[in-house]
Amino acid sequence: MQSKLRFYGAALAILSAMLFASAACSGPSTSTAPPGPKETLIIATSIGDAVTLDPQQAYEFSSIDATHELYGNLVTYAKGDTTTPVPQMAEKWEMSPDGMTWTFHLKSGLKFASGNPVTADDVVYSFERAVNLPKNPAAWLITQMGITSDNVAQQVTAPDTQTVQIKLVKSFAPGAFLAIMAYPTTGVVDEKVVKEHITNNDWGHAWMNDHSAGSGPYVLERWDRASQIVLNSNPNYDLGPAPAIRRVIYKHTPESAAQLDLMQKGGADIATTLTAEQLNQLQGTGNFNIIKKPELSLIYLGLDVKNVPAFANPKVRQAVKYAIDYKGIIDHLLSGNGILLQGIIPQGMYGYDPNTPYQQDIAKAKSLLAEAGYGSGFTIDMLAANDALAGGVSASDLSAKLKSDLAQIGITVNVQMEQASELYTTYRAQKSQAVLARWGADYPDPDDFAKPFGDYSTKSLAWRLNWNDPDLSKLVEQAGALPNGDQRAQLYKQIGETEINDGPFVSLYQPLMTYAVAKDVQNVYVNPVWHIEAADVTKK
Amino acid sequence: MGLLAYGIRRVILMVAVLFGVTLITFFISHVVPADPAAAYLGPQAPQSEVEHLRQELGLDKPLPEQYVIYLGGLLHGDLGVSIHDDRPVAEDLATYLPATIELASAAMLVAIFIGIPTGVLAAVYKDGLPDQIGRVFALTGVSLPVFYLALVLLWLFYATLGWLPGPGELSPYVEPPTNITGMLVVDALLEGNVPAFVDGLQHLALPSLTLGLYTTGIIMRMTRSSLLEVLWRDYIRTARAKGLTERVVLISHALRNAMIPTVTVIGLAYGSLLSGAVLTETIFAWPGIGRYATDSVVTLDIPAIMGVTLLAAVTYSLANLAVDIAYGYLDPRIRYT
Repeated sequence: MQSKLRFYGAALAILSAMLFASAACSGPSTSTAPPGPKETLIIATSIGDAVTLDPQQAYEFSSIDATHELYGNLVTYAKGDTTTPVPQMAEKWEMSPDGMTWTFHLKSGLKFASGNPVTADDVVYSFERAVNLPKNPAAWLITQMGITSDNVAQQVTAPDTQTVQIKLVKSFAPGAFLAIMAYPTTGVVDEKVVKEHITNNDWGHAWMNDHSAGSGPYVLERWDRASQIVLNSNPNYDLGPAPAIRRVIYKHTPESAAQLDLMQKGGADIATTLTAEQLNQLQGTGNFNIIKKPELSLIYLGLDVKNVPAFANPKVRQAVKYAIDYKGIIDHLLSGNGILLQGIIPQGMYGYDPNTPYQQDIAKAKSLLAEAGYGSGFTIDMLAANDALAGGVSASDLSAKLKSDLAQIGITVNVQMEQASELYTTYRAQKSQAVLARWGADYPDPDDFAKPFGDYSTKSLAWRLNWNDPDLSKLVEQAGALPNGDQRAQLYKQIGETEINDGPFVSLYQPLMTYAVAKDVQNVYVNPVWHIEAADVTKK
Repeated sequence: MGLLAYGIRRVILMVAVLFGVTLITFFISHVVPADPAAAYLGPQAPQSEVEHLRQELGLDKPLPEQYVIYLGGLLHGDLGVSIHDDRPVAEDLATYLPATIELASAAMLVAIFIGIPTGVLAAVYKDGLPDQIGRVFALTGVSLPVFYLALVLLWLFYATLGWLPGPGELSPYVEPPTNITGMLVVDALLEGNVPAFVDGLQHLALPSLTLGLYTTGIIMRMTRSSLLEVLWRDYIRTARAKGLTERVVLISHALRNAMIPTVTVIGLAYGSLLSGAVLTETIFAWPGIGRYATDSVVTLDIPAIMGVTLLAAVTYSLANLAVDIAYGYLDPRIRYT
C-alpha cells in the first residue's frame, strides 16, 4: 500500500514539474502562437501540376499561385486588375524614348523575409537565375526580349543599390514587358540566402524547389508533394499592410467531389474547380458565395490550311464558323461557365474586342461551302486531348458537339482523342488537320495572343496551322511595340477583324473561372494569372 | 550447393533480368509518338525552346546512343533526373515509395488475417457452411476488378454510410506528422500525434481493403486446398492416433506443412502489391509509387518511367528470392540447387 502511494506521489511530482515547464515555455510568446482558424485560409485545389516553387522556374497554375505569394516583383497588378501595373518593389520606373531601356527605382529600406536588405543586386541576380537555370520552361519570357545567359550581365545592371536598368536587345511591347515584370519568373530572390544553398553550380535551384527566399507577404512553411503547400505570413513583410490571413494552405484536392465534401464539412474556405451542378448545390445552402471571373484564355478549333486543302479557302473557314452552335455550347455543355468570344483577345485584357458576328446559320454555312466548291462536303480528322477543358466541359463532349454541328453542313469529323503530349507533338510538327485546344495568357498583354495567333514568324499557333499572312504579321509586330493608347487599340481592332473574318481559328468560348467561397471569407480578389490574392483576404 | 552459392547465382540472374527490363522499357517508351521535351514545356512554349530542351536532354541523339548513356548512368547508381519535376528519380522514388509500402503492407495484413483463418475454417469444415461462404468470398475477391471494387467500397462506406473518409491520406483539417519514415500512420505513431494516427488509419482502411481483397481470395483458396491435401496424410493420422488434440494436430502438424504454397503466394503477392497499386492509388488519391507511375506516363517522363519499372522488377526479384529462402525454413528437406 505504502509503495503504491509512493509511486503515485512521484508520478504526481513529475507530472506537475512537466506541466510547469511547459507553461513556462509557452507563456509569454503569444506572437508566435499558431494561426487560429480565423487566420488560416484553406484553398481546396489541385497542386498536382506543380513542378517547382523556385519562382524563376515556376510555370504551372498552382506553382504560380504560390510563388506569387512568396516573392515580391518590381511591379504588380492589384485586386484582380490585369490592365494597369502598379508599384510593388519599385516605387517608379521610366522607359527610354526608343522603348529599349527601362530604369526601375527601388523603394528604400525594403527587407526580405530573412531580414536582409533588398538591393538592386538582388534584382539583377534574379534575372541571371531566370536565364541561366537549365531546362527552365519559363526562361523564354525573358529570352524573347533578346536577354540570354550570354548577355544578361551587360543587359541587366545595377548602376547603384537602388536602381535597376534593363536594356532590351529586341524591341518588345511595353505593356507585355511590364506584365512580365509582375510575373514570378522575375520575382526577386534574396541573393545572400540563395547563394548559401548552391550545390553543384545549380543557382540554388535544388534548395529553392521547396524553400522560399523572397519578400512577398508569405514564406513557404512546407510543400508536401501531392498533399499540400503551406505558407505562413512573412514577419518582415513591408510591401503592403500585414495580411490578416497568417497561414495559407493549398490543399491538394483534385477531385471536385472531394472539394465539395470539404466545403460542406467546413474543411476548406475556397474551392476552385467545382462543376456547375456542385456550385448550385452550395449556393442553395446560403452559406457560400460564388465568384465568377473570365479566365484570360480561349478555347478554339484550329483548322490547318495546308493539310486540309479545303481550309485554304477563306469561305470554307467562314462556313465552319457559321456552322457552330456557340450558344448551345455555352448554355448546355458549360452550364453558363463561359462567355462568347470570337476575336482572339479575351475579355479582361487590353484590346478586347466584344464583336461577335457569328451565330449558327446552317443555310449560310452551306451556301458558303457551295460557293467554295465543297458543296458535297469533305472529311477531316480532329485532334482533342483526353482532358477536361477550362470551364468544366470534357474535351470529348465538346468534340461530339462540334462533330454533330459540322455534320449538318456535310463536313465529316473523325474525332481522335489523344494524350495531350501526343496531340501537341503532331500539332507542333504542323501535321494536324484540325485541333481542339486552349490558349491561355502567360502574361496579361494582348501581344501574348496576337503573336501566336497572328504572326507566322513566331512559329506558334498560326505556324502550326500553316497559316501565313505577312500583312497581319506586320500589324502584330507594330501593335506589340506600342504603349497602350488609341493607336495600339486601333491596331488590335484591325488584327481582330482579320482573325474573325479570315483566320483559321474558330474561337468557341472564353471560360469562366468559378470559385465557391465560404460566407465568412471576404475580400477575395481573383487575378486571372495568379488567382487568389491571399494577402487581401479577411475572415469574419 | 549451399545457401550462399545459391544466393549469388540468383543475384547474377537478377542482374540479367534487370538488364532485359531496362532494354525493353527504354525502347518502348521512346517509340511512343510524342516528344518528352514538348510535353514538359507545355502547349504554349515557343518552338525554339523545345529544340533547345531536346538538345539539353540529349533527345536529339540516336536511340542506341541514348540507351548507352542511360545504362552508363545506371551502372554508377544514377537513375537520372525526372524531366517533369526536375529532381533525381532516386529521390522521387524514395519520396513516393513509403506511402506504397504502407498501403501494400496494410493490404497484406488484411489478406493474411482474413485469408488464412477463413482458409483453415473452410478446410476443416469442407463442404460445410463456412466453406461455402469462404468460397463465394474468395471468388468475389479474385474476380472483382480493383477499380470497380474501389468505387463500390467508396460509395458504400464513404458516400452512403459515411463511416470512413474518402480519397486521400489524411483529412485536410488534421495536422500532418513530421516526415520521419514517410509512412504517415507510422510517423504519427512515432510522434505521438493521435489525431493524425486515427485519421490516417481511417484513410488507410478502404484502399488497403480494396488492394488486399484479391490477395485475400488467393491466400484463402491456397490455404484451403493445401490444408485439405495434408489432412489426409499418414502423419496426421499418426498424430491423431497419438491422442494429440485436434487443435495441435491442425496448427502444429498440418498447417505448418500446408503453409509452403501459401508463403509462395504471400511473397509474390507482396511484390505485386508494391508494384501493382497503380489503380488503387489513382482512385484513392494515394501519394505512392502507383500515382507517380501514372503521372510519369501521362507526362512522358522517361527517366521516371524507367525508374518505376526497374523498382518493380527489383521488388519482384527480391520477393521471389525471399520466398525461396522461406521454403528452406519451412521444409528443411528442400536443398538449394
